[in-house]
Amino acid sequence: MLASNTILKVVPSSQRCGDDNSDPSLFFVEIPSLDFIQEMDQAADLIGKENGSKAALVTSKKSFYMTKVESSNSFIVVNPSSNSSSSSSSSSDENDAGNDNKRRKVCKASICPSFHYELTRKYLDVSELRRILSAGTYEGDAEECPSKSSLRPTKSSLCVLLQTSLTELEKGLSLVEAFEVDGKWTVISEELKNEAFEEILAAASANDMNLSRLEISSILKSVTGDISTEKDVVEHCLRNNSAAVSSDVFSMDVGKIATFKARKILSKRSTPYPVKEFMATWTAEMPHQTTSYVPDISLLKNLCLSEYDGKVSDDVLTYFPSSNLPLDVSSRFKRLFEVRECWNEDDIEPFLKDVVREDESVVQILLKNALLKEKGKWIAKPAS
Amino acid sequence: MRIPFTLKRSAPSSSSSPSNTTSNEYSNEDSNVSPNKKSKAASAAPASSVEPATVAGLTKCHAIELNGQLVVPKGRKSEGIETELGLFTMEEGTPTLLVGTHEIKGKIVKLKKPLLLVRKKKSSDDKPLPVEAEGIITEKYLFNGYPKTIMREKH
Repeated sequence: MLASNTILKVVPSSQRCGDDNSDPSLFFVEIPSLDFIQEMDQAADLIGKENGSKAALVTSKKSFYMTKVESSNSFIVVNPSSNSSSSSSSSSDENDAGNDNKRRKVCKASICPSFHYELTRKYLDVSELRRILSAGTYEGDAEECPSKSSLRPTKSSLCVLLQTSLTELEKGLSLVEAFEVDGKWTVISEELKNEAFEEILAAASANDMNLSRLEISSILKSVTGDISTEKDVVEHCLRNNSAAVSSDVFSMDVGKIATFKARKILSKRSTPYPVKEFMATWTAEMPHQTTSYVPDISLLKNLCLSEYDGKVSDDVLTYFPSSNLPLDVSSRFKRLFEVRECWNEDDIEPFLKDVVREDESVVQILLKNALLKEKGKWIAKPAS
Repeated sequence: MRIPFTLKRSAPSSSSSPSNTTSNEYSNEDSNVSPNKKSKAASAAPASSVEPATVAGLTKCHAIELNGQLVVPKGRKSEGIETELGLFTMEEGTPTLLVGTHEIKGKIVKLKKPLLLVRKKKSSDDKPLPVEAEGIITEKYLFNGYPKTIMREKH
């Protein structure tokens, strides 16, 4: 509590113009709770952008936008740790009758700006991360050159570019299956990833390995072809498509094997694929070690479009992978509505998951970028 | 651009006062002095040194909010002269501010979210240095009432 009978003194700033007397070196930041101080103790930085957009306060685990909130009121702050006091009365105190015996304290106060910064939670823009990493895509050792390396950011520069915490960045790097090359980060080209995956499965099949217990060392010894020189890529591919049993033993995800096979089958066909015919081919293509596994068509939700074709009296599948869609949200919606005028919510959702931020839902992104025609059906917004 | 954001922790209350704190003489209300010890503190005032209150290790600062702008007398601003704002008093839990011949009554408002008082430091070549949270504010004295003109006796 500020002591009663305190004389407040201020030193108006001469650095401000007009009637603004506030100290330009001071400002307020509103924090979510007192517990937040502990989080800031571990690490906290302000990260600004050169284009003048909002600065962010970033701790080791979370990031927050700093939004300026103006007020028409004046704020004065007394900081007890930088104050001295006087017990003697000043001449102005003598005007208070009856208070002669009370000892007055003199406190220096600072005039603070009449605004504060509010913190609002900021989430990593994964599609922006993907875009940055794609600039220096890894296409194999033979394609490497200094200009490509210069396009690849380090973790530290990614934190600044994306105004994000290290924890959130690492989660994002894992989500996009980022690949480290000489301390910098990028993504592997689809072609190289597919080649690596194909060779892993071929090696496992040729040597009759148990897909639930694949040893990295055995796989690296067994892969053949050009990919055999890209040991880091092979290991990276294995890790991203398996669950770790131990540090060097992995259990391959059969669902991911099935999705990989489906993508390979569908991408080779230029005409729509009748479902029955596709399912037969798909099951036959699965590794012999997975004979008891029947692939589920729900795995193809973000890989193809399904429509009924009366000519073949069956549903037909058309290859349409979400990975080929633009990362920019409005461009993605434009492409989706070029392919289909009206989408069911269940059908469009898998094609939007790549671009939905952590703090929003698919419905929110649909409301911003599309029109609800009737319950569960969406159409394009008219061009403005 | 990344600028470190540090927290200025108060020294532990049992140790000697921090280097930037001169001795404070509190004649009455003092958050660090219990009611039983008040009279002892008053009699030993010239020699005592009381640590400011802290919240989560940060110095608890006092914030006063007033309607409108503080207009400084002409000439004082450009010279950076220390100017008396007014007299702050507390009576029966109601804060009062006497500014010139105006008396404004206020209230204590507990903040929903704490405010950090942050100072930014600049080097001589305009390169930004770390920003530092000097203190924390958990409640404020809000003076948003209409000021009352009072008569003050001339001596």
